[in-house]
Amino acid sequence: MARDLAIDLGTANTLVYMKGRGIVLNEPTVIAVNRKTSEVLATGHEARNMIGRTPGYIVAVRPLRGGAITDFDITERMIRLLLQRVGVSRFTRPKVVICVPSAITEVERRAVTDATRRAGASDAQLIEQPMAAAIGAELPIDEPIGNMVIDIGGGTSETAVISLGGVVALEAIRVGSFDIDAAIQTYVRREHGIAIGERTAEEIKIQIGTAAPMPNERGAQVRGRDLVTGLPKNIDLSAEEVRFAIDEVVSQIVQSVTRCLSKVPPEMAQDFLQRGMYLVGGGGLLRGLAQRIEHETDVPVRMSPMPLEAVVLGAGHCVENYQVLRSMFMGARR
Amino acid sequence: MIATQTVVVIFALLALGCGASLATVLFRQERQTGIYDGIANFRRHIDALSPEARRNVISRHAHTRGGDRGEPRQ
Repeated sequence: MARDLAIDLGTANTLVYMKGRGIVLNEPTVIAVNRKTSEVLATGHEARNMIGRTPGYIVAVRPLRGGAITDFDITERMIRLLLQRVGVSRFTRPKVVICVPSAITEVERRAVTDATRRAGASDAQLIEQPMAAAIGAELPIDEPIGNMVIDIGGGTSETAVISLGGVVALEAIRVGSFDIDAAIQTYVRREHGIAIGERTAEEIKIQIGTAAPMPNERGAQVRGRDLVTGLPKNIDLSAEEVRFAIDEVVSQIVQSVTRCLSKVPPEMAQDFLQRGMYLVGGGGLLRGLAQRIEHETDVPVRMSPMPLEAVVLGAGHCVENYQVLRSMFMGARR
Repeated sequence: MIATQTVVVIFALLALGCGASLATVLFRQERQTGIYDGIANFRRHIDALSPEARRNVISRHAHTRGGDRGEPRQ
């Protein structure tokens, strides 16, 4: 008998929840493929370590960008491998709930469900990430209270207001923490004349990245390739420089939160002032982001206790109560 | 003899007809949405989203979280 699954197929990380067991897999959404034979060589952490360090015949890629499938074939193979790793075989075909960005198009929606069914699922249902995040973040969404959740992922940032188990207001943009990494790469290239890889940019963001001035800021030494000489070079990068580099991306995220707030019915506005909004997703871990949003919206911002797992736990809860919560799936009759 | 057989067939057909009508009425009644169905469904939906209903999933995760955070658990 197949155990039903919930999959948070994120741009950055993929998490799998198995009914009755909890989270059984958590790894980067990366796949390494042999260009010549089309064989899959590695997935997850192993494939991530290969990014930017592969010989010509190997390609290590993230098959999702901005929360959408960019390579259907590779995504299908990755989902198939994921299902196999959690014990799904030809004879055990589970029902699968997949978390997707709310801004997903009809074509992208079909691509995800088709890829999942072909990979071995008996049924594939989609759930909006902010809704799953609100369930997983333990917000009281069963009450007639405005619950605001900001989910900042690798490729998307979504803000939703949820009350009585339904979405009241929603704002989604295809900007996420990978765009912050890209902004750091661009800044270092333009201002210091050195090229750095996406993993180095991510490390800079984690180590010294801030969205608002913070106490005890420090700098970091960055290694890259000099664009003029082509030789390895070290530079010193300050936290202020990084904040300047990522400011435009951070501003876009904050503006989307503000737009969502402006869509909310006036009755709910007082709920946010009392209860605040909740940050989930890896992008929410950027230092100073909560303070920046709080400063620009005058609404308290709180960090979810499990920011990285909230989405898959929410979808997992829907898997545990599949029949009762069917109406929460995208395209279901409400 | 023939007359008796005809009467039996007529009664059998009548009984069948009545049975089919009764089944149709019952089936339609069953399918008809009652005034309280919406309330009951909504209640079930909301109850399934209550913190008590979610506690199992969250506490199971909190329990297993410990050592291997961020690593594959397979």
